[in-house]
Amino acid sequence: MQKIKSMNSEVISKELALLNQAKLTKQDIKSALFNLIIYTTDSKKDHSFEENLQKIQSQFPCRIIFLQEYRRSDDFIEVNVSCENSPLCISQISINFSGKEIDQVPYLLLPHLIPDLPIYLLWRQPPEENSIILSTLKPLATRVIFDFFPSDCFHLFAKELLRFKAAGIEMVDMNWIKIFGWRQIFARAFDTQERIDLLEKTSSLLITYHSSDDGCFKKIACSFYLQAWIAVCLKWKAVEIKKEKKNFIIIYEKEQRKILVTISPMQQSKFLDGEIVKLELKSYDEYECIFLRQSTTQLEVKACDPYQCSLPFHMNLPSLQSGKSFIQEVFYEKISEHYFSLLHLISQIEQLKEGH
Amino acid sequence: MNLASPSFINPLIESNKPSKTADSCVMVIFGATGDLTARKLLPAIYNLAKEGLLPAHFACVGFARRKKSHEEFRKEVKQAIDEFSRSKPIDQELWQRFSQQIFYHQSEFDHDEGYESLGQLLQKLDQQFGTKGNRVFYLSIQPSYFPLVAEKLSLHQLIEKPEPGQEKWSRVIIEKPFGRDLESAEKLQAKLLKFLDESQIYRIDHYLGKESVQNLLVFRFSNPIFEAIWNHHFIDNVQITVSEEIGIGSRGNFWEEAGLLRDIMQNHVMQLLTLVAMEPPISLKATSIRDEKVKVLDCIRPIAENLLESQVVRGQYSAGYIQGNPVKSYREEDNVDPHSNIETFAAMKLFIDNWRWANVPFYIRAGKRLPKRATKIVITFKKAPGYLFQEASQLSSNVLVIRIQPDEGISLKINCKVPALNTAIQPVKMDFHYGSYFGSTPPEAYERLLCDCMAGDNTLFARDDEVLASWKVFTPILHYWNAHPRRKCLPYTSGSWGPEAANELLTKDGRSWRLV
Repeated sequence: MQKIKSMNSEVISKELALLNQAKLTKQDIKSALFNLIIYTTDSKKDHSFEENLQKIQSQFPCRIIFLQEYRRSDDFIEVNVSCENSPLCISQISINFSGKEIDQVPYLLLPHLIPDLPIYLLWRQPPEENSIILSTLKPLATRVIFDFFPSDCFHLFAKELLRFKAAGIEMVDMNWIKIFGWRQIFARAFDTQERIDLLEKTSSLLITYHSSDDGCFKKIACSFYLQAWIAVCLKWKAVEIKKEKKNFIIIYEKEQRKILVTISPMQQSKFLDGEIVKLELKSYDEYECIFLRQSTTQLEVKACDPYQCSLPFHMNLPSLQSGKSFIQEVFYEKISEHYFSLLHLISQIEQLKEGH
Repeated sequence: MNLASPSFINPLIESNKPSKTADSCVMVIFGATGDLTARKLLPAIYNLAKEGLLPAHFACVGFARRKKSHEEFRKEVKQAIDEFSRSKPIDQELWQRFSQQIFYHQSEFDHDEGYESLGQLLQKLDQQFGTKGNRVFYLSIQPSYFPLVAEKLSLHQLIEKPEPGQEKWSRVIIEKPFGRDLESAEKLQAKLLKFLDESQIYRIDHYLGKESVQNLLVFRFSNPIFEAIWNHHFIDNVQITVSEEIGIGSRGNFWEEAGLLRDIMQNHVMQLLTLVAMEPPISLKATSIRDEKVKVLDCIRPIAENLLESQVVRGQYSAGYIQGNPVKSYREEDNVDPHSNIETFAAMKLFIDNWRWANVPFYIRAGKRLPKRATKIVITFKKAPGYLFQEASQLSSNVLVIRIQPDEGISLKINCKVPALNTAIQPVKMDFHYGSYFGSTPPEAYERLLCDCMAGDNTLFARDDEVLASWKVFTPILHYWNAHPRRKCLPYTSGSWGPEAANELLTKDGRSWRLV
């Protein structure tokens, strides 16, 4: 990282060009697929985020502009530039700031966006935040990628995201994409009418996720989305939502039958915080199906009915392998209609009895 | 996409995001101990497993004549993956469970009891893996066995023609060449149709599984600036080159039977030509794309017999040097007749008689033991009227080059002023390299094609009328060569760009092959 002494756009460009020249060997070809602006705050760095960023950097040549806001009392701003050409060309501008300096950040970064290429804005704060950065960049962004999940008031969060959709802003949600592999595997395991019929009679669903501490509802994002996705696909109607100690419980209804969904934390240190470890499904016909993570990539599926148990089979979680399909989902795939249905379902949760 | 049961809509799959989901099945590979299986098929299946793209309910059975146990076969599979897979090293954890989905079945191709016991094994696997009676049979065997194997599979009810309401499906993947000429291809098709429906036959041409080939459609039909000039008003000529450094290797027996026209020209080159020349399909559905390709093939002007000598060149490599190393001639290769007249090089000029391509020559060439491995499509545009830059006597044509392999990408040559006080003009190149943007390890063609077959998508497989139309173009040439055995293949030195006659094919038209 090269520290820039003057907060002048021209100086930043020059430094970046110099670095580029110095690092570029004769064989390297400079190319860029898109601009990626990442907004985060000092408390928001986590392993999963770093991992995803590495996936992007290792597979896509691009310009990354990091905006890191520090929540402290003084006013400060600092710019660093870097350029990597191995194996792909990644030019990076990092703007760290706090206090009133936020006002000049959008104007500092605008000249450095590469024209004619998509602009992705990765936003790691609540969408409703009244930020000059979000309001300036939102109209320019090809797609806004949210990487945030609230610890409560899910319905407000969902409503805010739906407002983005209504305003015609293309957006995706990292937590939704993180369960891409689970969604794929679940759909593949229930891929016939006969198997869907089994699902239709679900009586309970237990989703267990890894939590390194005693459980914080902020980490339930993936589990919450997964159960809500199943509910949307099977047309379950939410009737009650409550928190019981560390567990999160949602009661759905379909054709006068109740479905009890429990989201529960557990310690499984080989996984990242919030990652789903197990999904257990039971039906009124005493059919049982368990999806159990055995490693970061492997999953075992066991199914039994009152008469027989089928042999367990194994599956690979698609998104966690090369990361290629994960990135495809973030940048290229059509925005999911299932996701919006899920947001609608969550946005209606306020009408339910919320117990604590 | 399960064509046999269109009524089932999985609520877990989004209707606005058609995902290519491979359906539960057992894949049976005939010729499981062969080279293609080891080099391409098994690594492809492993990589699909690694990417999580195999169906949840899946098993693979190797069918071959040699005796061996499941364990011995698994050991060979592991070796093949170790050596030939694009993703290395092998993932031990994945292998542990993947290997348990692989089985071996020994039988001669014509032994009924072998098919009987295969049926029993498949039923057992259905119960064990939940594969629902769905089957993919990959015939990686000599083409002469295709009808026999299809007949035996049908006789033992391992394949069934699709019927309305039928949930289980069976599909057969057939390797090229499909027939030796038009007549034999028609006969083969008639034989297969006794046991299979056309929708069950997947004629594989691995070129269609290549990313760069699939990009041809995207490039042509998502960039209107090119589509607007993609016709005889602007294009002077089209060149397609498929060149290989390697000789025939250990495939002497096969090559003596086939030759280059059957092995490369009739399939790979024609696939590229149709994708370059076709009209926009009405949709991206298999039928629409294949319909347009067939129309192009039907429009290719037959080469009159009196023009075959001047419009078609055939050659055979003699000894020479490849990358500085001496290599032997074709006739010195193993299992090759020392007096063989089989072609290892062919070049020809074709015309497509339709509105778009009126009088635009398509020069196509393919060969073994050429200076380098490369597949390229070169579109040369007509020159600008020269009166503005008369001093610049060598005003270049715009040239669009589509590199299929290696170094996949697209370049465009344009003219540019040299910075100076005069008006000197210099051609420069704008170049797009796939690798620079998207990394250098795209999925192997076989991964895509196997996945498509399991998903019931036959867009990237050749349809019967497509193959027959292609044979219609080449059969008269083959017949002419057979009828005139004394007209020998022109020898060319290994490491050169083929016989001089191939250059003359263009020079007499005032053109030249673009350097590959």
